[in-house]
Amino acid sequence: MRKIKVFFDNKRGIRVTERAIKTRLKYMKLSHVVKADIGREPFYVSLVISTAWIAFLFQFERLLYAHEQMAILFVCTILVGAAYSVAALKLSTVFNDKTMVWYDFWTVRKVLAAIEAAEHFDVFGNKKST
Amino acid sequence: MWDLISKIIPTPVIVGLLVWGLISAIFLQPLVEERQANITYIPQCKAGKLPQVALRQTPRDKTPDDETETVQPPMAVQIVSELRNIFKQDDEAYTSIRYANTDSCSCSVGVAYERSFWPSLGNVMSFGLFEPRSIKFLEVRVAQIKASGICG
Repeated sequence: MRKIKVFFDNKRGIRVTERAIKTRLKYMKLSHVVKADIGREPFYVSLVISTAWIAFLFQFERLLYAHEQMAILFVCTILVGAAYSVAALKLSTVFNDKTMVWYDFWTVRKVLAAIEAAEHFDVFGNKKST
Repeated sequence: MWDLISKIIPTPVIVGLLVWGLISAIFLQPLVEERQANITYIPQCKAGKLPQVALRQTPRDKTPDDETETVQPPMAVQIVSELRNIFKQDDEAYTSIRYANTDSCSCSVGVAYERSFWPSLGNVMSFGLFEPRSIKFLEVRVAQIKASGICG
């Protein structure tokens, strides 16, 4: 019996083979996937909030103590940094879109690369001719 | 309809603005109001530098003149005016309890800010760029409240 080729496995629940992608909670055949992208919604939300907070800081500077201003800058930095690190893997079939997993951005990028590599193999494990 | 809105303004921006509104209403607006009151309006009130205002005479204070005909407003307007008077009286009762331990200047400024909640929130959310008249001329409202005797 032929061994299934594995393109990504982080040993924590995310696994991409030549046939499917499997997470802790979801499973999807790669043959059904027509589009894959990385969702960065938390990062954009954090950018809006941090930009607004820093604009508030500049406009109402005279009403805030120095330690409060530092605290606002610190919180904004942490917020943007944390939100940048989080991403979602979104896969679309012909009929619907599905968010497969929320994970750190770099792992999700690797999973996307693995899906792209798996697309070059058919279900029998043979490399597709281009 | 949501699809149309999310095409014009992306969903993360809408969510970010909603969260910013919540943060402003819960944390930033009270902070700005307290600091501005302590820095500007309360010292101005205590120093007696508030603008002079004339209180509007309420219809209840006017005695009817037998020689002149009084024109009654439409029924709907009378109902709305009575409802507004009822709510104002309720508000004044809570005001005296809420500000029982403060001086009249702090009470007047507090009531002025309470009555300008939404303009003040708009002012804070827009980083001071949107400045409604009720916020720009808040000292006039403070003077009116102080003269009306709500705060003793």
